[in-house]
This record gives sequence, structure tokens and C-alpha cells, in this order.
Amino acid sequence: MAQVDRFGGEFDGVLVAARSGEPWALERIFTTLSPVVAGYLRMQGSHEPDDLTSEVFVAVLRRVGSFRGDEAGFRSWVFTIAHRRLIDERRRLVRQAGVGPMPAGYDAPAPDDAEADVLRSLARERVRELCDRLVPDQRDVLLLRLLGAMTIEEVATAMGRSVGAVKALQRRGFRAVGRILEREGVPL
Amino acid sequence: MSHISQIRRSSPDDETVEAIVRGRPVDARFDAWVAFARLVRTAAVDLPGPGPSDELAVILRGDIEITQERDPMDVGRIASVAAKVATLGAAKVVLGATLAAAGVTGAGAAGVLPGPAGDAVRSAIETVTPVHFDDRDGDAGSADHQDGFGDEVSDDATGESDGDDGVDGHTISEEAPGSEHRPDQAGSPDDGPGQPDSTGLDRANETPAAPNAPETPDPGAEGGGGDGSDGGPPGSVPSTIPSPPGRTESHERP
Repeated sequence: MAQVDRFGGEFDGVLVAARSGEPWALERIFTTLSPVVAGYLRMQGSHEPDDLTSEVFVAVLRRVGSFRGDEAGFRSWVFTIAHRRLIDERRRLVRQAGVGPMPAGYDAPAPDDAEADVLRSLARERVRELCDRLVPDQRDVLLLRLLGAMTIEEVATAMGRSVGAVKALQRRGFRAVGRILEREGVPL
Repeated sequence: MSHISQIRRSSPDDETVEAIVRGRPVDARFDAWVAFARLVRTAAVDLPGPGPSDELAVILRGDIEITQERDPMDVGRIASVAAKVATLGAAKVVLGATLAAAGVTGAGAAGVLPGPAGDAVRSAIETVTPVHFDDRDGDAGSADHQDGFGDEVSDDATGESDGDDGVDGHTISEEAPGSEHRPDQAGSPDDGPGQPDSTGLDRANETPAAPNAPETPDPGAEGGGGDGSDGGPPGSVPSTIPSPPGRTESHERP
């Protein structure tokens, strides 16, 4: 996957400092990864993506002292926590009667309603629509791989599924995206 | 050729999907999927990250201690020990008015229960009665034991007292806690709980709580202390918990 270096090559130093409780390192981790984690949760239809994002990083930063690995592994770990928090939220909502789908327009408009902002908003909405039309497990796999940059094996662990099952879900997810694009023209 | 027909005829195989996911170049036939992947990544980070919650803000300030690395095996060990203590505690610690169930409490008073359970029993007894046990610092084998601890072996264990080697409960060492409160004649197996014609009150009178036991059993009690053969608790047993000052009515067993 695209090996995005979000820490500018400084991940190892940031991690060491974070494990010592250095506030600047904790802040760096949060500011670097919270946008993509929040984006993942939004695309997954989380009802409260901002609150859930904070929950994720509370869990991450409390346990950062026990993490060992590189940036890719750290990102995978963060997204595993995010995914599980998302599942917890879904279960909570299922238990609560009458919880409906996300209200339209949850995606707050940018402060400056310039054309570019509108186009970006439309693009986000379109992507979310596409993802909504996937089978949930297929959506989970695609988003964890694309946004979490997780390997097949890491996704399997996060979802509690076998590697073979994840591969199948990935394959079918991509084919489903293709069918949607075919039916509706090329919206991208 | 329209892009639509391209999509219809060019569903990516696993290898191509992997390349698309990893951001590696793929054939132009798969541009639609590449565009999809790119759009997902872009849209996800298009908005700024949310502000931290109050709880997270505290952590970001460094006001919370970061959990340090812990050996995963420790977690399993801790969980295992906690489970064992929980089972001991649930069965043995809740004493209250059940001091008449002398099997456990007697054993606890005599100090023959394992350390943690014995401590719990002794603590509970001290809570409800004026009995006080000498503090035991640490577990067996601890350096806090008095000098010479373990040097002396009871006559019961050596067989000197009854001709039978091994501890059978006939004789209790004077070193065991509670010795100063023990009756002159220690209970024998034949005097265990549930013997015919014995009541819980009989047993209560043999325990350190004897001074607080009522003179007569509760008229509603059935069979006294019960024979324990069904493994259940004894029938209605009069409370041996001393009444607080100013209250004279008898206490019902909780």
C-alpha cells in the first residue's frame, strides 16, 4: 500500500518520547493520525466520529508505552483500535431502539463556502455513498486497507476473520465498486 | 471505447487489487479503481482532525502516567491468581452470623487455611467479635517470620500424641493463631459439624464467639445446625453478632 510517511521520518524518535510521556510527542501522534482516523470513522458511518476519535486516542496514548514496532505497525495498531471502537458503537446503537441512519448533511460544510470546498464536500459525500452501498464487511476491509494501510493479515486480526475470508471480501468489495461505477457512470 | 465498458471487462484480480491498495502502478484498464482508492484516501483526510475530548486533553498535557510495557504472561498469571482468590473469598469471607458454621471459621481461627483465606477469615472474625489474632507478616517462608518458626513439629504430626503419624486435627499447635482463645479440649473429627443431635449452638459455644451466643436456640430453628450432608447452609441459626448498645431485640440471620 502507499507507504505514507506521516511523521516525516521521525516516527522512531516520536515514539520513544511518547513512551516517556512527553506531551509534544503525544500531541504529534494525535495531530498526525487523528484526521485519517476520523475520516475512516466518518466513512464507516459513525454517528459521533469526533468523540470516537478521541476515544481511540485515549486508548492509544494510554498504552503507547507498551507498543513496539515501526510506523506501519503503529498505524495498524491505531486502526485496529479504531475499528473495534466502531464495532462497539454499532452494537451500542443497535441496542438503543430507534437509532436511525446518519442524518443527511452530517459532513459539516467548510467555513469558506468556496467552489473548491463544495466540490470536496461533494466528493466526500460521493465516496461515503459508495462505501455505504457495500456489504459492511467488504467496506471494513477496503477502508482498513486503504486508510489504515494494513496488510491482509492485520485486517484479519482486527476483524477476527481468516486471511482467506479477508481476501475474498476484498475481491468482492472491489468488484462491487466496479459494478456501481458501471451502473452509474464514472462519478469519480 | 467507453470507460463503462472498460470497467465491465476489467475486474481486477487479487494481484491487481493488492497493487491498487498498495498504491503501485497498474494497467490503465483499472484506472477507475485506482481513482476510487485515491478518492477514498483524499476524502478521509480532507477535513481537519477533531479537537480532543476533555479526557484526551488531560492525557495530551502529560498529566496521565503512560502504561509501561508489561510481560503478556504477567497478565495471564495475574488473572489466574485473581480467579483463585475470588473463589476463596466468595466462599469463606462472608461470615456475619454464620460463625456457628465452625468448620471453616474454626479452621480459620486455628490458622490451617492457606494464607490469604486464613487472613480473610481472621479479619472477619475480628470485625464481628472482640477476638484478636496476632499479626502474621507475610506468607510462609517470608523473612518476616519469627526466628525458629517451623523448628517445632506438633506431637500430632509426629504421632506422639495419638500414635498416628501425620496431622489429623486431633491436636492443634500452640503456635497457631488463636491458641489463647481455644478451648482446653480441641475438637476431634468425631465432634465435627453435623453430628447427630448436635446443634449449631453447640458448635457456637465452642468458638471464640461463645460469649456472644444466645442462651437458647431460636424456637423456629429446625434441626439445629444441620448435618451438612446436603452441602447447604444450616437452618435458621440464632445470630451470634453482639447487639449494638441500646438494642435488645434478637437479630435475625441475614
